[in-house]
Amino acid sequence: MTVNVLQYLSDFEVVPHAIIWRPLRYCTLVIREGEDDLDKFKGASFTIGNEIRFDLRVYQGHIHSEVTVTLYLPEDVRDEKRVAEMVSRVVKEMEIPITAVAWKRGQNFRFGRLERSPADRLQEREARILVLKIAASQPKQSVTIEKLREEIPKYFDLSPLDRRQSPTRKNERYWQIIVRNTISSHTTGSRTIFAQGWAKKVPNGIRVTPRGMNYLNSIGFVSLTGSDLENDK
Amino acid sequence: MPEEPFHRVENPTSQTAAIALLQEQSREIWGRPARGSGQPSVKAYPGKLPDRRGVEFTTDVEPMPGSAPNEARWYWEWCPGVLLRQKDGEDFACIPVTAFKNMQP
Repeated sequence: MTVNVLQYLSDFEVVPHAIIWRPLRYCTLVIREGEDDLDKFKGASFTIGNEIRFDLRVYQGHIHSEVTVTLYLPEDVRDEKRVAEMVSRVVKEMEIPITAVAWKRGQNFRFGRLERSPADRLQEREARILVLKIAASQPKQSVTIEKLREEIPKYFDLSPLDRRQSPTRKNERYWQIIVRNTISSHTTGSRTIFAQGWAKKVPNGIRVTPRGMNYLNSIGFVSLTGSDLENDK
Repeated sequence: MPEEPFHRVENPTSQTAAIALLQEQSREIWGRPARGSGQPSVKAYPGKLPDRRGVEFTTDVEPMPGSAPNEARWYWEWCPGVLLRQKDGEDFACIPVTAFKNMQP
């Protein structure tokens, strides 16, 4: 099922139901600015089919606002079981790892306190999508390895585990090895971004293909028009 | 009973300097229904007011449900202790405050 990112912000009351330890730009490039009774915010509105409407927002005063985004559902969704189903569905359809969910409705919390899961770190499966997103946000949807390494900390809050130095490669951190493996020429298998047809190698980097852009469109990261989608044929 | 303070930041519509003065004098925080909603609510950030213009307060009214670690909400009818106020035919949720600092004079 496709996650559609809308060209406008929702005009109905929304309620926070989950906090994801990823910045807004990790989730989508279609970012709007809004303001409500609480404060100014940046965010985006989405739909999944005809059944789920949701917002991702970050308010200026949210704790950890640089590295988290809050998931909002319409006010009329109040049944706790339904809320839990919708939150799970959004996380799954947007390809967000479960470890990135720092809090969700039903879990106890203290105001002003939010802890990241100790297990949340960059893994190869997420890194594949992350490099695709970063390349898609660059001119000509292309990115070099050097630029990737520069950009990743802006899209992903590197954890202490990610920043550990490799025991075998003294000049590299764990996250850098994962990124290199993700786009290296020796990586084979049906799940790589190359095997999926989502990216092609270019000198010293990668370029996102139309199929890759369609994939990013399907998870709400970009919003392609009909003519953009035609390019994949 | 919430022990920690909450804060609201200045904005040109619902948290002006004039409204902050009213809040200080009445010892009440009021909140309108959001756009597209019939349910008035008060919204605030948890914690002390950071380096921004706004107000900081404490209240005995529990801000649940609909709250999150990074946002507190008091909905009229859904939160015990939240009062209904009316002005010019408009409904407002209202919470009494136990302490109040006006940092947007």
